Amino acid sequence: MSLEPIREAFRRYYRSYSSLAFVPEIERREFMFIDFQGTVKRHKAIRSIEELRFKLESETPLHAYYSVALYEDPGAKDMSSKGLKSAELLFDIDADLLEVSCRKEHDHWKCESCGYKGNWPAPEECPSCGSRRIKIFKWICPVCLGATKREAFRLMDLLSSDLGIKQEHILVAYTGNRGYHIRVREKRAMSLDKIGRREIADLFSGFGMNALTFVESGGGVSLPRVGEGGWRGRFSRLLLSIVEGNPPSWVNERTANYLKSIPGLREALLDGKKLFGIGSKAIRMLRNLVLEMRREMSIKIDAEVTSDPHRFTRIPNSLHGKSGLRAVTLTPPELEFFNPLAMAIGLKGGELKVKIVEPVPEFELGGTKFGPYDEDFEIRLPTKAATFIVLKGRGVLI
Amino acid sequence: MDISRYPFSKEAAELIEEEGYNLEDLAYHPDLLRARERALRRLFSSIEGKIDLSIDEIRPMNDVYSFLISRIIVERLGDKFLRNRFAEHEAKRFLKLSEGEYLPNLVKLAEESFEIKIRILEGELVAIPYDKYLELAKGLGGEKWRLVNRDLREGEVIVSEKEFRRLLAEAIRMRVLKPSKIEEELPKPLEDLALVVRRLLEAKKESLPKRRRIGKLAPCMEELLKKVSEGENLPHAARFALAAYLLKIGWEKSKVIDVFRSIPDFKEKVAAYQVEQIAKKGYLPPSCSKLRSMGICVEDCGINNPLSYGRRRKR
Repeated sequence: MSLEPIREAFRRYYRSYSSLAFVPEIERREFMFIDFQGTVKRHKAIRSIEELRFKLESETPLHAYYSVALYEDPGAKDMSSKGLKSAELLFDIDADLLEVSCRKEHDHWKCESCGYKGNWPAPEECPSCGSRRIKIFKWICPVCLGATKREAFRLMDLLSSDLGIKQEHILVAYTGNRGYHIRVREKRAMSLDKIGRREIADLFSGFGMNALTFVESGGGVSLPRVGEGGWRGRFSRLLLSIVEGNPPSWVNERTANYLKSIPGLREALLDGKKLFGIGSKAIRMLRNLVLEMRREMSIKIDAEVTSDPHRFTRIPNSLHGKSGLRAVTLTPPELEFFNPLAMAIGLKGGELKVKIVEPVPEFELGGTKFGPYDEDFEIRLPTKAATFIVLKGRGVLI
Repeated sequence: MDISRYPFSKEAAELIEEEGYNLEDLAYHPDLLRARERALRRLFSSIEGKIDLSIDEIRPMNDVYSFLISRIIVERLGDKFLRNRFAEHEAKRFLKLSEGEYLPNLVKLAEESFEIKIRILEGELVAIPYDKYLELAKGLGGEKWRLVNRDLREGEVIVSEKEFRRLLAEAIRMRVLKPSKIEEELPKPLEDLALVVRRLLEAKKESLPKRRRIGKLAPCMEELLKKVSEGENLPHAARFALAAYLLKIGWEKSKVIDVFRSIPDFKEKVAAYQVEQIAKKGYLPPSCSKLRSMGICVEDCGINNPLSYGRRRKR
């Protein structure tokens, strides 16, 4: 059976709630829609919020996006003649990029050639038949969504401490699926070019961090001082926490003890005095600690998204075609109490019958528990749950 | 502030205005004879890749006019190579001549001439807004310039006095690199000056190693390029053909990736990987007969592979 009943559910949603859809500076944005056949329509300009709402109701897309960029002529067919004016700085935080323990439990893969299956992580090629046609079945749960939320907060902390971005210039949006989009609407950030955006992406993801510039040797060793900002300051304060005997838990005890014994380290950190007469082992350990800090403390963002001003984000309160959940725009304080699986439910009422084709773990949507369901199980479910299972590729409508 | 060291500054521009010499004067006025000579010297040094550090102690304005005349000639000739060399010259000259300059003077220079708001911190440190920093540092190689390795506090990048001068030198380079209004015919003496510079420039270029010229694109590839730029969704095979072709005729990878940016399902990572692979493996674009069977061929050029297009034509 086709996805028509789901499309019908989407249509009902948009008929009732399209008034919730909004896009700031709508006439400067490029729009992109993907319909239920999978056809991508790009380079669309929309003049008014009414036109957008009408479009959502009448065309009922599977996915609906708008550009973070503002263009002179957003409907132009090629990028160079659109006339980029400015673009919000976009950060994509996705559960895929985080090391979360729940993936092993709820994600699995299947070889499309021979049907061989296994738990996350997926291999490059099927261990049974060698095929590379591996399909991954992803899922979301409170654990991975909680992890993306924490990452979002960590990012916002650095946006403030490093770039001085104020909360009122930050928009947070739950994408409707596996994570959050964080957008900066501050003037300086919006006017950055591609190279500048790449630098910002690398700043937060720690890419290009160079231990040699943090721990400089040659006529004594100089270290960043605690009052510095950015990663240099964080490194310095990390060292100070080691000197003072309260390092974060990820610092290995042996390393901590060794570094603590370096004479004059505290003075180096507080007053910027150079360290003299310390051995190459200490220098090596200091530099290794920079790399460890990067591993532990950098923000897991998709750098490609941040460095590209032409990216899209979801239209607020549109439905996500891989979950049926709503894209929800939040202020940073609202994020604290936001629970996507309870609060981003868009499809209400109705029931659909599904046949399970891939095992479905237990899950909760809008306060109701569902599952677990085994393969071949047939069940009548509320539309929101049936849609969720089908769009995650684990069930078909019957 | 010693104006001969900073001829690009707003202060210098104001002095020029005050003295009121016009283009005719720059060409003919006897008082500016020395400035014209110095302009020639400046451009000679630029072309040769040397730096002219001499300063006119008696009449500092001569160095300002020499800079101005040099720029007019660079614009008149409109040669990219010359422009780059001249920009390099001015950036390096500033770097050298600003050594030991009183820091508040440099801050004033940044604010007035480049509209960069600077704060001086304790210990000869300087705070620059991050957006301006990124703009200036992007031309600078080396890990220490990367934002991730910087002392960065609430939107300001902290740099040393020396680094600050380096960034200002970049600002000067960028200003010179930006083409201004190209003058039509100049008054005769300046045209003569331009001619001398052009000869020198050509001699210099002759002495440099040649790069292969890139000819016109094969018509089928031109067509694919047009389709892509109009946001049309090409099948994989056509994308491959186009990417392989562009790489083989010498386009840079990043430029090839940019070509595909406008297609609907563009994914940076995927495109970058594919282009990288094609470049690494050195794949050739498909032959003309293959392209014909794929419906990509648009014209019978009488060749066997689109790569031969430019070569055959030139003969």
